[in-house]
Amino acid sequence: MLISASITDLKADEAARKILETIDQLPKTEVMHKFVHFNPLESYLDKNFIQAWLDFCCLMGIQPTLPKSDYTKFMEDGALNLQEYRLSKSKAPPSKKILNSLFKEPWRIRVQKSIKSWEELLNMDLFSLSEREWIKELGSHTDQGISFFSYIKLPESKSTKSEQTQQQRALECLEKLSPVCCTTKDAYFLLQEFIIQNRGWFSFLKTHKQSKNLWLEFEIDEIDALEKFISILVQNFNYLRNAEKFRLCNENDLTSVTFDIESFMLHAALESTIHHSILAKFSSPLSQVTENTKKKFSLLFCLDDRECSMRRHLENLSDDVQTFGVPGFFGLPLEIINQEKLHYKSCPPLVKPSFPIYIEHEKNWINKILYRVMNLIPGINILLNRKLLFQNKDPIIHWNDTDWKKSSNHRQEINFKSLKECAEYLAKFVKAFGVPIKSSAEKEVIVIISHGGSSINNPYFAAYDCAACSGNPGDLNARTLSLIGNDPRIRQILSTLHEIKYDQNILFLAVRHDTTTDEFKFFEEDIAPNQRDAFKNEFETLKDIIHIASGKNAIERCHKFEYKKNLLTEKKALKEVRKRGHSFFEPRPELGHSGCIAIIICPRAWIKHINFERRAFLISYDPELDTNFENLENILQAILPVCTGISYDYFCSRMSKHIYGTGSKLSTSIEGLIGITQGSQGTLLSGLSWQMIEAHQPIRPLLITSADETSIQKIMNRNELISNYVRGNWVRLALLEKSDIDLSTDFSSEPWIEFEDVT
Amino acid sequence: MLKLQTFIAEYVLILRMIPLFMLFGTALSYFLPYKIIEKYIVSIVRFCTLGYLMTSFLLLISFLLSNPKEAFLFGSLELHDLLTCRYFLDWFSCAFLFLSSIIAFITLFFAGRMLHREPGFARFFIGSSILIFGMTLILTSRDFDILFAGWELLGMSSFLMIGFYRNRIVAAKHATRAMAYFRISDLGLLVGVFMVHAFGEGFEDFAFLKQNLTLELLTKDHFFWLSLFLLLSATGKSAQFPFSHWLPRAMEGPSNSSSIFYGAISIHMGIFLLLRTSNLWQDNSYFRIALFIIGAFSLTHAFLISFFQTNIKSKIAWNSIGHLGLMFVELSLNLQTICMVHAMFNAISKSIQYLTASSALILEARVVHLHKQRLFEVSSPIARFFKAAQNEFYFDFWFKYLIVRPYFRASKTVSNPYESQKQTKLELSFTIISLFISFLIVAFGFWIEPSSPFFQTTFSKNLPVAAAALVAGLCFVIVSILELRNPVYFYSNSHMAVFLISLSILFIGEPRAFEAFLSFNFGVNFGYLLIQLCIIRVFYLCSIKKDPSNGYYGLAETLPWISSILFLGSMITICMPITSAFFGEDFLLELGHRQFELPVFIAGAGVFVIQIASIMAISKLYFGYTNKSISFVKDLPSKIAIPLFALSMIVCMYSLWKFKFLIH
Repeated sequence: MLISASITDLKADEAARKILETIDQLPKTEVMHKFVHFNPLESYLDKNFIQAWLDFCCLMGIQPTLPKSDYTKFMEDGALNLQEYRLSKSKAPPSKKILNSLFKEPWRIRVQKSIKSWEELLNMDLFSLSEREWIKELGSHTDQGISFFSYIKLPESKSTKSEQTQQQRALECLEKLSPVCCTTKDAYFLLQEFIIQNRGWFSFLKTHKQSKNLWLEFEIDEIDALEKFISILVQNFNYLRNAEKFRLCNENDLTSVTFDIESFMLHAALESTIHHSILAKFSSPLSQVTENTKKKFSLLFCLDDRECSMRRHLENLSDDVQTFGVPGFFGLPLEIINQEKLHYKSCPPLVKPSFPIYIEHEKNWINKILYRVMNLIPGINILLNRKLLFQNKDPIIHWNDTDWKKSSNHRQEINFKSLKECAEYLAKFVKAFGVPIKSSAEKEVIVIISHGGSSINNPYFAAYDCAACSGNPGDLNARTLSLIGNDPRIRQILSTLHEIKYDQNILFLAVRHDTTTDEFKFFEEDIAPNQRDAFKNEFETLKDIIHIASGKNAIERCHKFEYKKNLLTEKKALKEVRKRGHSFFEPRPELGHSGCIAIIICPRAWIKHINFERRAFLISYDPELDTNFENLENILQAILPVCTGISYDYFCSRMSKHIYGTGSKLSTSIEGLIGITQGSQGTLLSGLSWQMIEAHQPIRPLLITSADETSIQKIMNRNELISNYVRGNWVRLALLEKSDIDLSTDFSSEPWIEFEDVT
Repeated sequence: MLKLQTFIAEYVLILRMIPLFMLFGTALSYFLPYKIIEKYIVSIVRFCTLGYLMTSFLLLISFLLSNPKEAFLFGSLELHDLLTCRYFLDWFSCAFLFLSSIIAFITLFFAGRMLHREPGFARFFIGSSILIFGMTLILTSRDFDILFAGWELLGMSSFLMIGFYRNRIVAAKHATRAMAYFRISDLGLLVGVFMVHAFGEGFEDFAFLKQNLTLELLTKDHFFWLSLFLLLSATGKSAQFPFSHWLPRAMEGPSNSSSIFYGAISIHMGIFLLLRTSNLWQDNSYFRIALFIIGAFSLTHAFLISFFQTNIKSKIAWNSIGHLGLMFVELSLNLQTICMVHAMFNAISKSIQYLTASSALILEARVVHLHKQRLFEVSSPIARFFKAAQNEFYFDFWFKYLIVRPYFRASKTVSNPYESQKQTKLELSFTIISLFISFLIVAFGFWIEPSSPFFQTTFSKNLPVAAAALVAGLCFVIVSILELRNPVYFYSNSHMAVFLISLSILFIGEPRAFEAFLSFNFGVNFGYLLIQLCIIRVFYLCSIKKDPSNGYYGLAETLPWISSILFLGSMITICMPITSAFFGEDFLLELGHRQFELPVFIAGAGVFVIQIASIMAISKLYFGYTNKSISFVKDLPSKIAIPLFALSMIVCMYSLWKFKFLIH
């Protein structure tokens, strides 16, 4: 199969459009303090997944399947079963010999030939002279203590810029290249290759333009970068007197990719094997489920796959505990504003923040000065940071911006958002996920558990934090929700307008789970003292349960880190994971989302007994409460972009560790706050480092939901986004139905590739 | 007292042996099954580094206890007629040894964890053990020759570590650049060494130098030139102006290697050289002014650049250059003790900064929180100056315009980019001639005994032949550097050039010229023999494309055994201290220098240019990502490759043993 982007008789208009399109198709990258797992294939969402993936490979020069040795390794680990591999019509699995013969034909991936021949002609690295300067300039604006000074660049003349459209400016760029390139096609290929070669930089500019980043005060866009590149190119070309105009030798060499169908089949087998292994877990008979009984503790966890095991351990430990899987921003699209008047949001990347809160960090000058002094003494930071001496206190939350600087009392009145609005947020959230809406005679605690990670050897600011909070730990969301839930005036509104009856016996408590070190922090100070005293016993019990569960969770995680199984006790395991998190020398403080392969939407009680081995996003959903499938639609709409974003970020990084991924963590360096580079002089990188994704099995996510086929069809008909994901095969859908004794699942979407179609 | 001295000699010997043991221990891991390699290497490395740490501690203690009057100790330990361990120690070298051993222990101890599952796990530790061996040789050497050997080993290991991620082309480029600068630094020391030898017996001995026994014999002129070349060497190694730009670009390897090489050990060796030879330049005010100017200029410009760097590793590197500049200034002001203390503090702080570089943002965020940089508006010339400082004063740009581009233009006009059958035949014939010559010389070197009369033959003085050989050799130098893109053509041409230049010195008519010629050529030709064999295997027996799209062949990834033999050959041809070519080169230059200063200087420059070009050629062959057009070429099976590799190492050792008497 040969796919080539053959463009004959390319007109200038079309070329300009295609250049803009290429920029649009690049994956997004954000400023490092809000590390978000963007779906690199986001711009292809309207296409079928396979087609999108192949197009992406074509554009970036990625091999669409893994190297053969990786499949052999998967086979050895049992993740790939050759029974699933139907190469020929015969049912016998192919032997190793046949497998070896399949990989003879070498890949012909996109080679950056156009730009290479230019570099050869001009004898210069075109990248280093154009982009490095700007990377440094932006780096100095966003820098967090690496450089000593920063300066304001003088604004360049932008008189014509604002009046022209992007298309016109791209056209101008092409025209400027006409003295050096023979045809428009040559110019187009050159610019396209330049964009792809410097994709980190271009995607940063693109994301910056879209999200209106407040860090960067002057405007640059992608076309500026192109213009600069062209001016350098033309200038250098003129220097070489009598040089011939550039001409393409062979178009096919530039953009052709040959695909090896057999390795596609191996990949299909890998996907099927893993998906079937997940589905097989549902075949075990259901345990005696006691539903609809009141539990003492309702724990709201983020749907994250890293919380999957913790929830299981908690539920196994005590009958008083029930857990819910909800989106980690707890339904509050927060916009956080800090003392420096820096805005950042704490909600999924696609959601527009509409709930402003103001935070105030306690100014701890002694801590700061101590830190600076300690940094001067070599080696001392290694010793001290292990115990996190310099960890700051959590910020104080304010509701308005008028007096947030002066006041020290954090329980301010909610002025900015009206109480009604707050009540509405809470009511909507509580009802959607089946969280208790009426208090009983016994005391009951609703624990809102946010999560974040605290690792040290980690170039990214927030790689292990909550993806649903745009790469922030979700504790501000959890704390805000608990403040709302505990407020007596809001409770009154809830009972009158939303039929939610909370009284003295119910309490909201915010907790933060550190997924790297398995530590829990309870935000008890947010609760009024009298309430705190009333629930003292409950808190004690809860803390005990959580402590034991975190020990068990640590053991489970340690097994994934390949520690010896029998030697670990809970105490040792906890110590071990903490050591990992706080070590300067540990490139794998935690494995992140590298296990994620499934998204499961169903009542928790159905799957309580199943061990998903930290591999599934678990979302609570009760089909009985959902008459018109509105809840399911809302859930799908909110979680699909986030979960597939995570999944495909890992997928693309794993499939091409050097082209989309950042390569090894060991040689990376930090560039301001705008990204990381390989070495100190490299280009900006996107994607994840090799240490984060090496344990990942790159397959599409499996969406398992408790609904019948007609209802799913209904949802897809009215919601285009969900339809794109499911009908475009971006997720593999399996429907879950419950009979009295067991659960049954059924695929209703295509496998990785239809064998018959290709052959 | 005497007992302590023998103890010290033994400790020095142990210190030199431990890295060698570590090197062979880690190299053996290639024979082990994949699963236990990491555990095996980690245990060997931990054992060795701990041993090294303890021995260096004992050395320091015994040095302090022995309480030498003149603040230094020297001596020798005769193990065998052939092997004498000569050492020279002062408190700085002992303390720096101890400090380096601590840093090496920390970085290598944790490297096992950091490099877990990294491709090239064993390579990292092999490179590190070469580094530690080189460092030990430098710090404990009693004479210039051993110091020079350590100096070269340090450069070689740096080259391997910067290019650790072999498939990254940027890393390959930066490794080549660093190695080229190291060669310039080596050249300074090489000329220094042969000048020292030319002064007469005993001048190369630091002990005599420190006791001022020999210095009275020298004129001021001697001092000036010698110290100037030493300064060139120190400037290159310590990344001072104008050779500073390799250091920020050397951060391509893992953080551990950056930490141990460029934070701690390698970069301070320039300072150490100046300290060791301080007797030579202490009273020379011109030299001290030069030292001060270089130091002060490096200091100001490096600190200025580092203030504006936003890349963490780049910032640390420029900061480090600034500190070294300050040390140069301290030396020029005769503040030697302060300089030593400064060097030690700088070593430990920089190595830790490199190790924790990737955590910088997280640590900062914990304490200081996100904040906007304090921007200040400045008038345009100042802003431009700041921008220039941030961009390292556009050094790359000027370098490209003034040096690289003129060269490439010349090269383009000469070389033929299109591959024709005629050219291929020409290349093949050149390769075969080169192979034939190298085979003959190696065979001759084996056949002839040091005691035989032929060995002592003095070639009659024949200046026309010498001049003709020199001119022909220089022509070949020009052709080979212009044909650098084509490795096949380059290697045969450069071989001719080196051979003819060395031949020209043979006919000057010096008494021991034949010995020097043979020792140089035995080594170099053996290197070329290996290279040509590999080239025939890769380029002629399988007709692969000779021009990959990026200029890099990526043999290290596709053909590991062939490429490692090629690498060994290449290191031999640039006179690394693994064969007799290492001291043959020095001796040959010294002999020629006695009669003709300028022609021999030109000849030496020609060889030197070839060596730098050779580094570029090997990096083009060795580095680069997997070249699919080579993927069907079969690598040597390990059954053949391992004995071949071992055999070539034995030949190298043999050549060292055979021409060992040239050292003294």
